[in-house]
Amino acid sequence: MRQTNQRRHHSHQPSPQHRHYTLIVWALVGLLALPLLATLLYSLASRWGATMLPDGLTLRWYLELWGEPRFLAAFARSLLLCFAALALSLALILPLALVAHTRWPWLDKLMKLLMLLPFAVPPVVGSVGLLQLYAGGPLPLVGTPWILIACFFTLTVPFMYQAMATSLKAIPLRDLLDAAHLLGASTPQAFIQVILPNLRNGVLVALFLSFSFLFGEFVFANLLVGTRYETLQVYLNNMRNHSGHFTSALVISYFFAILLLTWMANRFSRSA
Amino acid sequence: MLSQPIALNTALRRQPRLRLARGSLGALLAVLPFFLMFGLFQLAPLAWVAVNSLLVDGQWSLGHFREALGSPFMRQALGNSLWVSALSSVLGLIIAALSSYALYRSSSRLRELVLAFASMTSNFSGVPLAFAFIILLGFNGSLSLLLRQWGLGDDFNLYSTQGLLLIYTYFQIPLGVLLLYPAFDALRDDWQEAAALLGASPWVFWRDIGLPVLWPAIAGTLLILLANAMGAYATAYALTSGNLNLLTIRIASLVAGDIYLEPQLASALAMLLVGMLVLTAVVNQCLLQRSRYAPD
Amino acid sequence: MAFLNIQCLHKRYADQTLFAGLNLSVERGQLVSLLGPSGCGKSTLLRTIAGLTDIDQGRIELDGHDISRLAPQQRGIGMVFQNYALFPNLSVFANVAFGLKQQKLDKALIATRVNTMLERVELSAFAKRLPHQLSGGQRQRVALARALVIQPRLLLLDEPLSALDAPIRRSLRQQIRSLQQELALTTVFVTHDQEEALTLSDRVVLMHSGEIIQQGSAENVYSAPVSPFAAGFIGHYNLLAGAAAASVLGRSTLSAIAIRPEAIELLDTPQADPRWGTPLAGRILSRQLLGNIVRYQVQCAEVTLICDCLNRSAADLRASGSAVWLGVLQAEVRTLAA
Repeated sequence: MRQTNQRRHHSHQPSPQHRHYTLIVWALVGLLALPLLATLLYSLASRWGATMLPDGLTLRWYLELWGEPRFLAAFARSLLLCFAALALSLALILPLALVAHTRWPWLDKLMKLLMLLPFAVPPVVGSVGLLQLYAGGPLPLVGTPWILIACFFTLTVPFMYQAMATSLKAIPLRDLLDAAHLLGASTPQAFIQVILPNLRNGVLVALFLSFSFLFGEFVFANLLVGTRYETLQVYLNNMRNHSGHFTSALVISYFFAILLLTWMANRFSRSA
Repeated sequence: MLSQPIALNTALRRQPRLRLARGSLGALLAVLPFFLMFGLFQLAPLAWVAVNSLLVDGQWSLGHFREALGSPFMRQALGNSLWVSALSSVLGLIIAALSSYALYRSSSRLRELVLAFASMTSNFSGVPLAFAFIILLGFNGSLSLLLRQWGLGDDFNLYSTQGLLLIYTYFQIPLGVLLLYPAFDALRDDWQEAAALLGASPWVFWRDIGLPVLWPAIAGTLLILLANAMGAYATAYALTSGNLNLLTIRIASLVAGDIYLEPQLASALAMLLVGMLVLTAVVNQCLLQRSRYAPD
Repeated sequence: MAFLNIQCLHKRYADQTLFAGLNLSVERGQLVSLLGPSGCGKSTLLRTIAGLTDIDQGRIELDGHDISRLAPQQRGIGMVFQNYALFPNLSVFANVAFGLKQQKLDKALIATRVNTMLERVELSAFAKRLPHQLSGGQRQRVALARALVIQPRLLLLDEPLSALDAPIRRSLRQQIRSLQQELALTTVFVTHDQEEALTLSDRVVLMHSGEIIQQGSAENVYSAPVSPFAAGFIGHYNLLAGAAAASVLGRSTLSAIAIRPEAIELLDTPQADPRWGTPLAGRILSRQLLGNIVRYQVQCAEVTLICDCLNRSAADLRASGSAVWLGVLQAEVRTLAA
């Protein structure tokens, strides 16, 4: 406590140097914001030809976008896929994490290894095998939303497991379970009433982050399913030859969805 | 008289064993669905790719690898992937490191704000990012027009590896900041003060203490950025509808292209990519294991 | 002329005045403690001496030279930080050698001096270890060795023992004191622990809100506090004012008084004595055993007093509720400045 106070005390000392650093930070923000701001302006421009600034501002593109049934359908599909994948992820990984932290510690070590797989096997590589395995045969899933739900689930594994493992390590799991047992609770009751409330915030953060990440997934969606179940990202890509203003409105709408999700994740991680 | 204690004893002993067996069965049932799904959709496809990259007409062979590495077109894809990834990672890392240091020296309010913004923009990648850059720097992009007015950037082409390098660098920056900043935050002011009192200039401090302490985090971040860029597909695909020659674009077009499909050649290319990524992951793990100077 | 001389130091930070014209001098070879509660400015004062915090006005002289505009690198001051600030990537040897390396000394000479210093702090066997492989007490000694090996003109210690367990703290306290005396090194020692300050220093400087409240020898500061704050911080003084003070003294008084708990005798009979005059009647409220000392809370008319007695035998212990007589040693009653 004392140490952090001291440090903060120094990093707050107003000095010419301090101002340089603030300048660098704002330069970074400007750099990161530039493509977004240009897109935002473009999405609000009535016409923007060979001039520096647009001729006029309008909400026309947003109205057109949000009145477009194909967009709304793609948006709904993306939402549905993400919700389904996250529900699946929660249902499969939560029991796994609990078992790994109460009964079989070796499972935790195994998971640490398996979590590296998505890092080493990008979706492009996975798609090669998935296209061959599930194009026909007993599980003809290619071209259906089901394969996307399954693949999205694999993408969330590292985030979700890590978040749960961190939360589980932060609480005295053994003691809480023993205490609950001594007070007459069965093991499932103890998990639901004592352990889960402690995981809530950590898991919520992971859910929001996974959501914003899955919402932007393009590779699996495009290679495995394409227009047969058009998601938002695939729709965006297919609109490439449409008006640039229209696609800008689409990009900005998408970014605001991401903004909302990350903001919520931040709020929960602060209260976690 | 004698049998009773024995019976009691076995009953006592049996009970926990029974409960243990029932518990183990429950635990097994709890983890089985996960491994089923993970096996089907993560391990099985990888196994298919690994096996088929080594099969030519049902025989074990390195033929596909030979074919992949023998073709100048594929070699170009590999080369492009490598240099765009490497250069964008290094550039992104340098900018991220400078920014992280500036953040470390900034007020905590600004720092929190910018870190939140960085985590937001780190999700801004793939197709939307490519489109944003087209609007900014495409043939009729607003910044392109501005630069042309000033007589600059005439030979810049967004739809080339040049443009790809720019966009990759852009998406590496927020990721780099998010990965690096915690390491800077662990630097303690009193190290710098102690060094100063012992007669060291700031330059000596950074050379002998600051950078060596940060080094594992810097190297680890570089590796993650590198892997991130090498496996990236969406941005390049959206920028040119797959006309840029990159490893991931080649792999995808061999399994989902319009002209001819060669999943086994795609597998060989995919295994090359996986090999490189596994290498970075292993090096990264070693770095993490080796240098842990617990601060307290 | 004192060896370290701080004159009229002014420092503001944000809207807060930290020092307004502070003066302090330390004689050559002395160990001076800056004692006070956290936030009293003692650490900041130490940092201004080191040059780690700049000052708005004033003068800091070391050995007759103004050092207040010098960079920390040029001051020739050794400092031990509260959390030691050992360089985590360097071995014990390299940590201690760091300052000598900056002086561009010959490698062999550096090795000799580092090894001598490590022997002195009994860490020769740990030269190759990294800081995180050491215990707290060992780290503290590395930090001390690192500060001493450059042969500083002045040694600054910023709560160097606060992160350690009590037994290690006591033994390291002795080690620091004997090294300091052996090297005749002028030392400023910051602490919030009054026992540490009293046992260790030639002179104690008591600080509060950026001001020096009282300074003097340990005996003087302990037995003659000048203000209620000093009395409250240094011991477990009984602080009394107004009617309460009058009832204990047996005469009216305008100023507040302070009575040390061990300056009150517990008596079985109301025997008068020139040392305490007429005893006061009281009743034991509670008893607390502090090892060699027993601390009683005694209700005495309207006043509650704390009395410490030596714990000579269990038979002497008085029960709660029992009646006693108190003899207040008049010579030990301190009258405080209002």
